[in-house]
Amino acid sequence: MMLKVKKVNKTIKNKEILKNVSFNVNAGECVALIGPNGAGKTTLFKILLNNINAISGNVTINNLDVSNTKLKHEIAILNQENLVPHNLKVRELINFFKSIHKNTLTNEQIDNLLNFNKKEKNQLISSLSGGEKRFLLFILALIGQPKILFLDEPTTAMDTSTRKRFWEIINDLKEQGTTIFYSTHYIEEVEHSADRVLFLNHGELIRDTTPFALKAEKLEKYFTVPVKYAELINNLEFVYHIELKQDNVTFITKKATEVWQQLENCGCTIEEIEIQNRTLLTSVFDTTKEGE
Amino acid sequence: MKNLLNLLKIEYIFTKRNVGSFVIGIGLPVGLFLLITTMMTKDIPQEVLPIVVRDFMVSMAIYSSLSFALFTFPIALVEDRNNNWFLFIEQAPIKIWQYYIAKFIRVFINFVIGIIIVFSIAKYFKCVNLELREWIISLSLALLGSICMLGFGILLSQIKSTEKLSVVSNVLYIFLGMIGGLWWPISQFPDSLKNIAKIMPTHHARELVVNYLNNHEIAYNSLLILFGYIIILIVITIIVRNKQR
Repeated sequence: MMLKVKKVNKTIKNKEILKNVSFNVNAGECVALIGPNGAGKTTLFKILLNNINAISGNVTINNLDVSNTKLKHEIAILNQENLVPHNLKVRELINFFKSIHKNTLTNEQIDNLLNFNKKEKNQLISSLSGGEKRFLLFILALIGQPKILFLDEPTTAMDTSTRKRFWEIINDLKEQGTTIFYSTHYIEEVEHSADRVLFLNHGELIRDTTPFALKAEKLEKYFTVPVKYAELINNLEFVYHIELKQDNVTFITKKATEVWQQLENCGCTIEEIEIQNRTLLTSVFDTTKEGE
Repeated sequence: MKNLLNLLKIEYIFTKRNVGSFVIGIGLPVGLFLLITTMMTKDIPQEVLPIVVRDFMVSMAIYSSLSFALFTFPIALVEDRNNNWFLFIEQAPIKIWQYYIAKFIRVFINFVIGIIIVFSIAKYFKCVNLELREWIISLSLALLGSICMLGFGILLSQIKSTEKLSVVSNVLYIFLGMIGGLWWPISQFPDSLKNIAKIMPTHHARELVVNYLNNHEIAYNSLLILFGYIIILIVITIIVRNKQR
């Protein structure tokens, strides 16, 4: 067992941020942590990384308490904030990270991963773009060849090609047996890369499952019907998120059969309507996007 | 030890790329020293002038350290937190005391350079004559007083916003400088203010050196008060820090 989180609770300013969160991550697993904004993901990350203390519960990595300094050679972290001292040069930062770790990547390996030329490595961090900075921080995290990687929204600020390169490297690390724990705002990053997915909502861990199983949970139906049924839809109790558009009305319901019966009674034909499945996974990411 | 050297290399780079704040830190006390000692020659009797200039040299040496203790040191710590450098260090296989020792060495070197510049200007431009032994002991005592004032810097570093920190540091810089008798002697203060001045750490940091130069003995009373300050400030810092966590 690599990471063990047991009954973690956290309250900040009388507000319960995490409620009794427990889960395990096995060695070599790639686990995604998802949840809408304000679900408590960042607080959970901070507790896992010993940046803040939990009110109760405990976190161990390889049976050592997370505060144990012996773990510092085993763990690497990509924090959510895309921040790094601006008045350092890229090569100075790389040299520093190489100098503080024991078993480091070679200069050649770092160059292959980073793909910066000599001039780029000689520039100040302040002159890098947000995506370049993010990617550099990721590579810095890999310099010590960690056994477990914590990545808090790793691809934020990366462009499409950098993001692609990032996931190529993650796949290589997975093959090498590195344990990876990450949070993300992108649905495809859960579907394609995670072995397991943890779903945090209002501070509670409500799912510990696989992306496939989570995707298969059909919770709601998303209806699009002609605008002439708008009055009927507005009068239904079990529909929500009603949006009146130019020639159609969209809404969400958990009682698709009842809605269809009502529509059929009013003369609606099957050709006039469009129905889409909304899974728990899609609803999480829709909520997250709305909050951004 | 290896990590400490690595951290010192980074501190050297930080200092090199932020040399402006060092120049300002030392520029104000040097400017004040030159300006005020030039003005003094008109009003002060010639027989006491060398002593007054020498004492003012000590005041400005302490004032230069105060600037590093209240600005350079806490701002470096807050910036490290705001730009995630401190988080990198916390998460890296580096002992956190090594980080603080590296920061301390950086500010200590600032203190040494600042005091030496003020002393050199006093010696070569204002003819302050001391024996080599007196220069060295004065420098050591001024450094001791300066280190005790670092307690304020440690406490100030708990302020998260650099803007708020800058305001508080400025107020404290003027207050400790003025009320501590670094700008003009506390003998000229009204009685009510004299009592406040005598408990100021800046007064006692100055007193450590001035008392040695006048009587060739250590002002243990001042030393004790300065240690008291640093202990109280560190205890407050620990309480504030634990609350923040």
